[in-house]
Amino acid sequence: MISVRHLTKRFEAGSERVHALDDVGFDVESHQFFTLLGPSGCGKSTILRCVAGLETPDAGEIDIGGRTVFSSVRRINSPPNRRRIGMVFQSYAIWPHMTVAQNVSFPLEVQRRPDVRTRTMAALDVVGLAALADRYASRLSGGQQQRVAFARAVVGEPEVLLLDEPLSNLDAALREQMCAELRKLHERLQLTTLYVTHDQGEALSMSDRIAVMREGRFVEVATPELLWNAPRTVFAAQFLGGANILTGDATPVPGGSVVSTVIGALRSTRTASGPVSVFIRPENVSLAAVGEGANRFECTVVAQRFQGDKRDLELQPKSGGQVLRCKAQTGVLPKDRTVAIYILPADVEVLSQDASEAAVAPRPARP
Amino acid sequence: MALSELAWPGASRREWHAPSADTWLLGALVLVVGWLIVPPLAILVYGSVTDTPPAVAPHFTLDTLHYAYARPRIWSALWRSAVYAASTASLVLVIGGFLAWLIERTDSRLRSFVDLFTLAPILMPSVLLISGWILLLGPKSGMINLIARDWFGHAAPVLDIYSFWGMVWVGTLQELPLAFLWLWPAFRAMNPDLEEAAHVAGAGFFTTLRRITLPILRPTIVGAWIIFFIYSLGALSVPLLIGLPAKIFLYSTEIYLAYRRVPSDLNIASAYSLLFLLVTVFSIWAYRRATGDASRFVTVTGKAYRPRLIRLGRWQLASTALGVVLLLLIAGLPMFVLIWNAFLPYPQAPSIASIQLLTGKNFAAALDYEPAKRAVANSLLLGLFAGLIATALGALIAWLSLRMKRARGWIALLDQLATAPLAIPGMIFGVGLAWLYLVLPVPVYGTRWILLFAYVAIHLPFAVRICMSGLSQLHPELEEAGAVAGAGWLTRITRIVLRLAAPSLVASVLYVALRAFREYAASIFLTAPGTEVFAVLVLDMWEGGNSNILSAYVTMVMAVISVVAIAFGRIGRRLGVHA
Repeated sequence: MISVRHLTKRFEAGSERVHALDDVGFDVESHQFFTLLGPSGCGKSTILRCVAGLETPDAGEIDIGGRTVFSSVRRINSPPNRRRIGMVFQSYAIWPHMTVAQNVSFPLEVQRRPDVRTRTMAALDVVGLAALADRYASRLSGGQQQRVAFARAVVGEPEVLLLDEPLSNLDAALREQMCAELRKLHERLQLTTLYVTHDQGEALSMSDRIAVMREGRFVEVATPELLWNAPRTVFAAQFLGGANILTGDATPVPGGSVVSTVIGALRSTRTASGPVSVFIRPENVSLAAVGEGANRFECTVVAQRFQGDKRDLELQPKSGGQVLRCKAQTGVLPKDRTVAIYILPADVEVLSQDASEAAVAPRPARP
Repeated sequence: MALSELAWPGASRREWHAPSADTWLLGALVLVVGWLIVPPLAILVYGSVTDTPPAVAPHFTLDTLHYAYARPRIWSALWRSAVYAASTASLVLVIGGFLAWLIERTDSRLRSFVDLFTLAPILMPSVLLISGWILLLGPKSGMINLIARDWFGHAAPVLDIYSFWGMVWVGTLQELPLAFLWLWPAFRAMNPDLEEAAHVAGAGFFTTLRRITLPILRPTIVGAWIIFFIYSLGALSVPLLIGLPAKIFLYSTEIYLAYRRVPSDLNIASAYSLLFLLVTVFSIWAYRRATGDASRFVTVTGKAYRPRLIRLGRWQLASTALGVVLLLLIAGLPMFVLIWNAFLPYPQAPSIASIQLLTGKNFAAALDYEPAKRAVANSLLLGLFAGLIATALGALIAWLSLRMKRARGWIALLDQLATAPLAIPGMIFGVGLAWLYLVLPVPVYGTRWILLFAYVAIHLPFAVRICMSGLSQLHPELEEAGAVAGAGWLTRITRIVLRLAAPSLVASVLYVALRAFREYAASIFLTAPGTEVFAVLVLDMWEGGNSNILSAYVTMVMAVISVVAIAFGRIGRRLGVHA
């Protein structure tokens, strides 16, 4: 439904030309919920704005619904008002001089569609705001404005729906609620959706597919499950959940491999050899009784943070090397207390070091 | 592919590289604004290096410049002007800064006076303020001197307005409200944390003022001083109304006299104006230098809370008294004396006898004077159209500089062109425009058009500023949401931008109209019989008229301005956004 190929955009930063987008390409299937995830400044919003036609890329091609809306080679660049899209902005961009109904009916009016009133009310029904139709939009709460913005984006039955960090201005509780609601609305309306966020929780809970971005390029594209359980890159592993990353040399052994790292030998069920990175999720580091065997380490407690359901611990292995993060249900552990940890070999993921570095190392801008 | 392109005509090829609407707009604006600003200034050079009047074959020579600057008289006038401008600028900054500090940093009740301070210069254009003070402090018929004579038996005038310090006095009062309005936002925007951090660190009030407050505000204060120095240097009303009768000639007076001489010597006027322009350019450069590194001083934060206020205690009464006195000086007394004189056959100290003399004849006489009526109509009409045109240009310039991402260099040029008149004395525009349209074979000189050009050019910076502050509050996503919804360029402008920016656009029209209404410095070079304007007519009436008829006339005009200002204010509020 959306097809983006070789999308490139550069910005002038002082005398340098910085790549905001560097040869990005992806496809979003019909009815799919596709998320662009990455830290701020990674170019995810730029992609969305290029698809919307609010920014002009330097090169590349964008198709929406089989129709080319931008192509640098064929010199096509349709303006946003001809792209048949719906968009929810980060600031919601609710027009304060119009009522809720006027805001929502605006796309229908300017596109000269029939049945303005019926469609407007139908869209307001979807978001549960029909009762507030004649209220001035500026008098609504943040969550209500968000719904108006959503109704306005979908009222014209766009081919694709673009969402630019729509939840980032809401407080935590409301954000979780809207997150669930957005997913339900997506399942009901079945609109092809391109979603931009820096919040891994939102991305994981709503998306069909996630593209993790860094410095203007895609690092990894996968389903939420794959991205969480078996990321292929160090960056994705760290961005989703702050995993422990260790580097070392892998030696194949029967049933997996052994990686020698700064904290000692780590057994993994993955087969690998040569220089690699391994990652271990903090929640897979479990506190255990002191004993002998593979993947058991004695550590001292460096710091701890209580997080409600779990306790976030920073542990210094006695064998040396780097501090490990561990999430465990436990009572207060005083600083410098010695604890033992155990990691299941199945939870030690191995990333090929070459592949992961190549995917994240910044490339210089091409002239 | 071809089929789907047919189905969706939007995906056409014409948008690519073809100049879009905003590119055409930018080009047109650069041409229009450039034409309004540059030729009137450039022609001053032409006038200075020729000794032939406009519209005859030019004879190029350096004699004009030599003649103009060889006379010691012009250098002493320049020196006097500099002293006058420096004294005025320093006085208004000290008083205006103190007022701003009182209002923003103490619990002074003066806060409720702010609206009056803003209103005073609108109701009392400078020609009226000066007229009022002449009627108060004139040596023979000034009310204060008459009271001193009649009530206290002082034969000699106690205070004489016709002196250098009289000029400084009126010049200061005239610019005081503007200085306050210029400095107030700076005090407002200054982060009180910076001062409080100094208090916490153990610094007392005066140490904080000297070590923290003043150094932080230094760029603002230096910048404001330069601006008010230029304003005072370019002012013409005080030098003409007070300086000329007192035979105290300032530089601006010399330009005016060269122009008014019979036969008029525009070459000399141009040569004098050229030096003026150089001084101005140098001052702008100094201003940029003073304020350019302002970003180093992080004074503006988005915090909305009010800083801890200094309690005035027993000084509260003194601060209120100061406010009342200042209001009386900048508006109350001159207004009173004008209205009082409007009803008297000749200047009088208030007394029981004088009350019996009250008459309405002056009003009848003023209404009988055709040029007077014409001047008000011309000024209102010109003010309105100057307001509309300047606002249209200002809104487009502001919109482009906020939204257009390409051609930033051209936009910067446009912005500098449009804000240049802020620092260029109106009289220079007057001389330049007169020259320009005497040379060009278009029938503009001597018509209302030339005045309109002058008013639009002179007030464009204010329109750009007001529109900019209004438009910059519109989040760009509000427009983008319109584009995504399917609205074209024109629909977005009319249904979203204009509607949301309406209050500031109306404010801009009103502000420019009111300023244009009282403009005299350029107008005095551009009016002709039939195209008289209000402020110039008041200057003329002082030369050969009866001050009581003049008082009646300006009393009526003040009433008209008040009505217009209130009506516009109402319209602006009605167009406000529902919030």
